[in-house]
Amino acid sequence: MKDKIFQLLILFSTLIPFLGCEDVIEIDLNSADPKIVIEGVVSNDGSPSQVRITRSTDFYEPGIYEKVSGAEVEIIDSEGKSAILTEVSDGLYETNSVLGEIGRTYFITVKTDGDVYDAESTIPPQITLDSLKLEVAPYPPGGEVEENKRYFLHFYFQDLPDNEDFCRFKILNNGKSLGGFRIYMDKYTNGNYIKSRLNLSAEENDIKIGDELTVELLSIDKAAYDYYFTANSVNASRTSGSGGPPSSIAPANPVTNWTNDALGLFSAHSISTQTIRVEE
Amino acid sequence: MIKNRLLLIVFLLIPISVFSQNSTISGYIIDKESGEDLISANVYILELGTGTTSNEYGFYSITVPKAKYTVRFSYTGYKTKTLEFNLVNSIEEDIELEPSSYEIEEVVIEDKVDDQNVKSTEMGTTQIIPKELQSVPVILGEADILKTMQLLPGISQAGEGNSGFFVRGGNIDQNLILLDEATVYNASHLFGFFSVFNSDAIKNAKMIKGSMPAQYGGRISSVLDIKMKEGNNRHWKFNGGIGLISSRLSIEGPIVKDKGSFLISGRRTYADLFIPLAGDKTLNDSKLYFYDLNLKANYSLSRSDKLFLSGYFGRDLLGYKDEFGFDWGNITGTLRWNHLFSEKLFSNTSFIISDYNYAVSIASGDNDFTITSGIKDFNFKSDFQYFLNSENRLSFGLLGFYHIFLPGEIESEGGNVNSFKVDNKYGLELAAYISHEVDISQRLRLNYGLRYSHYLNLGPGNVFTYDAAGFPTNITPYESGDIISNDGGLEPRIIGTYLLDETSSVKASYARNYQYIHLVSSSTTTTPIDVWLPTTEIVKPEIADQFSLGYFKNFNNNMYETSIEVYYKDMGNQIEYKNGADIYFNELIESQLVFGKGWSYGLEFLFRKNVGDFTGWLSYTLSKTERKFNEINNGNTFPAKQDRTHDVSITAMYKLGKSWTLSANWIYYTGDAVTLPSGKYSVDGNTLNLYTERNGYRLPAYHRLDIGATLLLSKSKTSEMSLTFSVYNAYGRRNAFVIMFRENEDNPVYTEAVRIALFSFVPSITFNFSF
Repeated sequence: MKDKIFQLLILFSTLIPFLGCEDVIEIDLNSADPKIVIEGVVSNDGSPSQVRITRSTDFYEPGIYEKVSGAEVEIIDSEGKSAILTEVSDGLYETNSVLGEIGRTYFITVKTDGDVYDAESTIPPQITLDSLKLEVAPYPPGGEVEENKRYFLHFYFQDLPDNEDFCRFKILNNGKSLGGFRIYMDKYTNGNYIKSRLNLSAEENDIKIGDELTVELLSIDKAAYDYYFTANSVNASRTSGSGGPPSSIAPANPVTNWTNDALGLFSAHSISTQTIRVEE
Repeated sequence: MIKNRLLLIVFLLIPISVFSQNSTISGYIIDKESGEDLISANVYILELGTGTTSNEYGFYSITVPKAKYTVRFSYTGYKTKTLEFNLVNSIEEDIELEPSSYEIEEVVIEDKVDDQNVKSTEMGTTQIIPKELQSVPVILGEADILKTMQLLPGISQAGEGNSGFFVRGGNIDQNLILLDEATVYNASHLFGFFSVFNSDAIKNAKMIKGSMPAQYGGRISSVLDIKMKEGNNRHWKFNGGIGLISSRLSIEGPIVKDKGSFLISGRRTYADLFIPLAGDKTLNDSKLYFYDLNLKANYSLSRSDKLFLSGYFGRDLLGYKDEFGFDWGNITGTLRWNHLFSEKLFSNTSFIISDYNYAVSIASGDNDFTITSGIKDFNFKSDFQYFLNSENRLSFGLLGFYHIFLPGEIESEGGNVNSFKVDNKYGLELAAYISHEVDISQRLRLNYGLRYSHYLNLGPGNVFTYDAAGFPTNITPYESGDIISNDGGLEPRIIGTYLLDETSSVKASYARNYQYIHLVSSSTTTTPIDVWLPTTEIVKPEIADQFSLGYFKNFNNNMYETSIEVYYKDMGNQIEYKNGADIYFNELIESQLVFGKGWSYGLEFLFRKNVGDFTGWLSYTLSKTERKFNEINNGNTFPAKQDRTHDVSITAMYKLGKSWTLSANWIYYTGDAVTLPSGKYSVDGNTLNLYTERNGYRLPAYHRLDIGATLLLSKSKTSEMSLTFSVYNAYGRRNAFVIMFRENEDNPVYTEAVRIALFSFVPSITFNFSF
């Protein structure tokens, strides 16, 4: 809703001549001590459980992030099964011994440079993606299609009536993930058959005829939802869809499930996938 | 304890002059042309060197020993009237003052302008009469009380072109804004670019920056008390203006000549009518406008009974086709009864309603629903003023508010979304006060008082308790009429004025204020969807203690006014949202809050020239405002967003010949304290900004120059036509409204800071008329 309001604000300012402008400025930003970023994923699609450890960098530095090697990473599930992850490449740790199963909780411990970081995450009941539909249209409605070609990606699923559901939708174009954290919760929609619609700019997302668009519906827990919800307002990626100015009076680092002030998220989730081809 | 001691002082002081052989002169002071009551007009008895001022209904009363007196009645912008009274018995005398606008030069030479600012027991207080400010340049040519207020020391604008304001480091919701005594919950149109106050309908506005007398309460930072015009009770009058973006029209006239009058004043913007001209077809079905309607009527039943009925209706409407609609607005209504029990005891009793609500409707794709939310008040108050004698004046009264909070409701017509309602909340806010203004000696004047306020959090409703992590642990249902929790406290107020000589004084004050309803804003400016929260067991009343000290000096026969004030304000039980708070339609909203404290201190300087061809003022504020919350910024103190070290404004108006008035204002302030990233990192292929401290950076300094000119086309005793030209942000400074941080379009490996500036160089023209 905040976005809508901002759009209207911009709309209003376009009605008055000589105003509303955007320019790149140089700001003297402090340099920050590199902070540890831990991304952990346990999913039920059979892929290995994976942890990626990097460090942050200064704002005006190029976005190349130091990989943290030599960490000790252990995952234990609520059934008592445990595994030490192996470093398969710099900063990337994997295991096939503990894999995701719906209903289980996963506990993770990361030790590096004498610091210990813990997190836990639970795979909630799975929501299944029913089907996809793709529609081409101009946006805003009423204009010429070729000026600003938009794909409306419709997707359908049944919200679980007896559960508080949280989801993340990952959109991939020919296997390459589009930026942004698109999330859903059922506070206002519990138990409904959900018809959802994503508005994708062809140009910004580089979508061409013949491409394959994939939607991964991740059923996540509340902690992961809260993480993505708060991460959206600090996402600098162009195609994140969160755009616009920070909606919060004082932006802050996302709410994470890691202890000890680590950045990133540990998410155990289930995945349901559908793919559609971009036609003429 | 404090209460008892204060009451003791009251009773010790009252009898001093009760038993002398006294008589009273009393009546109303009114404008000869329109019959409007004049607020804060001066009454001065030359022989005694003492006097009084008319109250907010134009009533004055002064009791003095029986003798012959020369009494001078004066009011800025009016010809002074001097009358002889032979006081044998009490005299009722209504005084008609004639506007002096035709012979300004004479007035300056002949009469000493009042030096109320030096002598009164008012601190941090400014009166604004819209008529006097018509030539101050403003954005889009709409004269605006709230924006003019922001040019005064200690009051700063909430954002570019915004009518929201911060007073002495307080938040926007800590300002009590009253329109004919009714609370105005959202004083902004179009996201703050306009205020809801149409200058044509406003008689007088008084801003009190914290040293408020005991009659005011309920907000911890300031009171802005706005009075609507009564309407001309002598003859019909039409007023209006046609501008680029809006037009307005007022009609006023007598109901029964000299007994009653009415005023209807309306305003509407029509920017949306120009949308088709913008050439962008996709905007054609947009709706974007607001309107204001002010209504007022009054009638004198007898000499001692007057009835007033006033109302305000305003709404903003935005929309796109049937797909999206968003509208919000205030309604206020006030029924007042002025009654004179005697020539010394004046009373006013009011019934007031105020209502603020918004509605969002969305019908696109597979969604079709409407969201509504708001707040509603029913208010009863009764105020008494007892004009004991020329040295003593007592005010006392009581009031009650019944608040209904509507946190939010979703009504769905099918589709994805279910209908949903967060239960209404109810509360009763009660207060009683007494205050005493006394001239202890020729030099020392005191206004002290005590207010007691109390808040009852009422059922029906479910009350949640939470664990440390904010999860609800227990639900207790309450029935209608149950008292869920209550809070209250004493609010002592005192202001003293010590006259150093005829033209200078030193003043000191202390005030404590309680605030029981809270607006926690999640955005950088006010938005129509901000949610008001009541005081509960978890949300405690906000409390502020303010100390101030000032030196006031007038020069050159009061041609120049100066003042220096310093203040320290301590604010307890301040509220912020947690990071990532779920704000809307959340029945567990209290689990999303964190509580802390704040303080602000500063120095305010004002230099003002009120008379002559060249008028204007210079205002400078040096201040510091900080907040401390355990859960924010690792518990470390951080500057509030509105912490502006330097805040300067210069306003100048110059009369050039008979027909031109030129004006300009220049504003400069230290950039807002903001939270900017110090680094970045990557999560799942996304670049996220890294933050290290709250409000640790500053926006670039804000400054801008506005210029204006008014050309008087014609003027006679009864009619006037003029053109006002203005340019907002004349040198096109790109003041940052917001700074975004994002990847570079061509080379996404790099990130950049992008400044969004809203207004640079906005010209406007308005045609004004009255006949």
